[in-house]
Amino acid sequence: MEDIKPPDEAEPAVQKMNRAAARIRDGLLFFLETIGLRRSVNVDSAAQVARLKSYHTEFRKLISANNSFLETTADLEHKILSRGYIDPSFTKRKVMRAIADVYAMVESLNAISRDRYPDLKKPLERSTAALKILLEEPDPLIPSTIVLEMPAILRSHADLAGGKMANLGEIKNVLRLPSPDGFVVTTEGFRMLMEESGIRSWVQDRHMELLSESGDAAKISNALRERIEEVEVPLPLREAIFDLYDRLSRRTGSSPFMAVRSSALGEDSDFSYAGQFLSVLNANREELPGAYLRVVASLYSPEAIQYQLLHGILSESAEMAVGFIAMVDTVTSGVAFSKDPNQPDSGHVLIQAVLGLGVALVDGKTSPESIFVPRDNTAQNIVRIPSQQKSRFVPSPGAGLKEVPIAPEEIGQDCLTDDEARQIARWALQLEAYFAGPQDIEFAVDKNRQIIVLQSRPLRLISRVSHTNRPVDGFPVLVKGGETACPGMGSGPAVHLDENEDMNHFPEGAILVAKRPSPKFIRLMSKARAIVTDFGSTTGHMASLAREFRVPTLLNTKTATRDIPPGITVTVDAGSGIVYEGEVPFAEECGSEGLRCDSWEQKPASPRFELLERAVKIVVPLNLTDPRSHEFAADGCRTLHDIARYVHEKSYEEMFMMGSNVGDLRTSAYQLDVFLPIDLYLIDLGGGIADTHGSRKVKRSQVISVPLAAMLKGMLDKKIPRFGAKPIDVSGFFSIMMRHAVNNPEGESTFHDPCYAIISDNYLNYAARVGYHFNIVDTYCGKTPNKNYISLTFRGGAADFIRRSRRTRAIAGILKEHGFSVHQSHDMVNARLSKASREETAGQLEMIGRLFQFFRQMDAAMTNENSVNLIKEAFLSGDYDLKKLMAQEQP
Amino acid sequence: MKDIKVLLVDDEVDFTTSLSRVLTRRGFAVEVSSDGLTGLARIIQGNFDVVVLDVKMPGMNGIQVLSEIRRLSLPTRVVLLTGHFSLPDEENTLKNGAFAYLLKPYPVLKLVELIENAAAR
Repeated sequence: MEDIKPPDEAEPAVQKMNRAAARIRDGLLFFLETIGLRRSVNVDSAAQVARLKSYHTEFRKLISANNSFLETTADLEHKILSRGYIDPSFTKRKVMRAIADVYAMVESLNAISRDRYPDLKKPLERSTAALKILLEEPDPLIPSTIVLEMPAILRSHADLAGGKMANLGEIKNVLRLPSPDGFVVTTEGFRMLMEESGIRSWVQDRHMELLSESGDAAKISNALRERIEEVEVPLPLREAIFDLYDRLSRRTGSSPFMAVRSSALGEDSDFSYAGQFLSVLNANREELPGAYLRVVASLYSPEAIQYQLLHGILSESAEMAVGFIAMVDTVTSGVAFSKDPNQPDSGHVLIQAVLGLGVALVDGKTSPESIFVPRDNTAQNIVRIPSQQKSRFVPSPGAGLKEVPIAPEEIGQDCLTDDEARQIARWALQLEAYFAGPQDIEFAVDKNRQIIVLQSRPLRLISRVSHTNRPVDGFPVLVKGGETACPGMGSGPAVHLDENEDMNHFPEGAILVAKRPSPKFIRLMSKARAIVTDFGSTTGHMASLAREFRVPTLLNTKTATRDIPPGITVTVDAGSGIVYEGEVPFAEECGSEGLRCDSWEQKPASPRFELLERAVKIVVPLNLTDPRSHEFAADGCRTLHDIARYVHEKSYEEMFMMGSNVGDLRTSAYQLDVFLPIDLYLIDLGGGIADTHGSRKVKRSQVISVPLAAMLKGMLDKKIPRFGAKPIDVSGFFSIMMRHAVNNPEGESTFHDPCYAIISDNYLNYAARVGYHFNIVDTYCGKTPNKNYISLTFRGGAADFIRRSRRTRAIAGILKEHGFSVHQSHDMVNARLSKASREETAGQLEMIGRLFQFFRQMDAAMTNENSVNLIKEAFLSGDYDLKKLMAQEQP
Repeated sequence: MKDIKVLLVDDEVDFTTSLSRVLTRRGFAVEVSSDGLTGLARIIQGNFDVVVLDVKMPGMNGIQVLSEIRRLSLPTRVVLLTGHFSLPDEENTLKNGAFAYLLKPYPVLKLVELIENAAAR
């Protein structure tokens, strides 16, 4: 790409003359064309426009692939952080998608740049080869058994027995808390069902259909469930179920009715799937195979399908283990939360209990008795809120369940004694300690008042109460809201920093407060206790780094830099989206997600997890953080993320210069018919201009390109003084300065270069040389905030070097105030803003339009250092004609 | 047949070698990848008219490659080869982005015809 330089004092005289001669020649040719003495000879301008169109298409593809790649890295990192269940094809799926996106990005960059990045081939092939080896390793967990008996089940069997049953096994066999006996049909059993009944590929086809846009989820869900419920359970599986049931009968000395419940992979640990699967209660021996099929079929309930689609869990790899649990002869049942989800810091366990089976409670049909038991278990009183339960569910042999009214005198009576409640609370705390995080426990009390633990799963405080978390009392809340990039908490002094400022002095243990995230902040990740920003997205580069380094990070709060004063001590609860003033003693927890740092070490690293970790190392780490560093080069790319980052950056550079490199395209362009000191020609790539009825002139009202319309609105803002003489009847220093500026709109000649704006409905690439100013804007402004950006360069000027540099600083200051990430050097400002909403992006473009017009006249006004700030403030306060400023100047 | 670019993606080298010879003799420009991942990379780079994809491969299988082709809206036509005992439902395979599918083993001429039809579209 040819670097375009403004005329400069240092420019050799010969070059200056050549340039002047070229300008005169162009001007003359244009003049002859205009008066009809010369026919334009741009034979291939149509081809050039077609080429621009294809560049634009490639660029859009590149940006979408980049967004998709970043989503993938976020998914991979989230999986590493959460240490949750990893389905058998998760790593492969994500790696494939990442590779495909990065290849697509490189292809698009090569198309845009006409193959100017051959050096990317090597790092790309290196990463691909490394990942290929990983992908071809067989799944390390090829399970062998189609059923498992309760006494043999441990937590490490989660991949085989499903999360729910594996937890229950651990509770029974390791913690030795009373819990029901039973067995499980494993995921291998599930595979046997799908394969031997011949429906696996049929299910896969339905699944492909679901992913296609025309797929009707409800219809497909019905078809799937009907088909599964109709199949025969394969004989070996059927025999195994009966065999294990008979063994259970011998162990318990009875023929218990069974509860048949889903234990899907990842259910209750990584994915809540809350309430999306079927449970069949009270099934007898002969009913077990049918009940099994019904539960398996619920893997494809409309809700579960929706959930899988949302979480990107392909049904191809969605597998279900099914638990068979001996029914407890229940008189009372309920749930216990080791922390009250509504007030996690209140210091008590919350128990909710009902008479009869727990169905009523889970379905929310009845208001249970609420019992608050102090966590510290001292003599403090238990607090109860009585239930209003009027009927209970009891098993009804042969008919599942029936609802029985409660006698009036029983209504509102205690469901549990104080001792029972304390016992349950003790177990809840024991489970919380063992599973390293707050727990949500289901229990039942049988006829002999024996308490039985039915289930324990992580209490998802973050998803359940999320940002509606009640703030901790006694600490002023400075910021509430935003998006959690990495959950956790951190306290320390607030330090405001811009990505371009010196990071060497960032103090250890401080809280970084910034307008926007930037990958450059990687240098602070080891020092910062937490990060808070006004803008930014959780799929961005920095969010990814924050997760990698596990720095609690809260983005997009809108107000952090405004409402967090520098220097004061604050506490960031990134998971809850709250920043407090002061140091909040959070009971030494490092997160409200139930994700505690120390719990990471406790879980055994499964072979699948190790595979994931190896893949992540090739895909995710980002080494190229600073585009201005000399290491920012193709051969510096060590991971896929590096390649994506490099390609992304270079694609902007390529597109950025597109408008200024188009040559003379006036014959295929439209001329914009507005009162501006430039000849602006529009090249419409599609949807940028309304029907002009054959005219090559476009009125402002015919511009329907969202970004161009926004920028024009700013350029034509009536409050900005137009070029040309304008009487200003004020005296004083500034009036002279102002008059000078307004009367001397630097070098605007009749014959100037045509300026081009390449536009589409949501795209604008604007390159204009006005006098000695050179401005480029490249922007996308559409519905999806993630795709939106503004790239901007402002360069040159007629004034001397010092005045130009002052102007540059004033512009940089204004753009920073508007939240841009800004780089300035000498007489050039580069700025970028990304991922803002369409409305915000359009608003910023309007501001840029005003800024261009405003500063076109300000070189002359930059008479002293003081003027940098004064002019900046004048623009920011809307004082475009400097009237207020001049009024202040007068005594 | 001139100028029709075909990529064969299959881990069975004997199969691709002989098929590649047949197709080259008929004037197709043929390339071969022996696994899904490098196949996908070539498809993204190579601007192929037709890709012949085996469903069952180690690493990334044919269905997964097909779904990436579709996600990225690549203009390539895909002929799926399957050796699975159960027949994929033709209508759905086609709806999901493949031009055609063929059950292994099959007459080579049938495949040649499919490739020609696919390229002609």
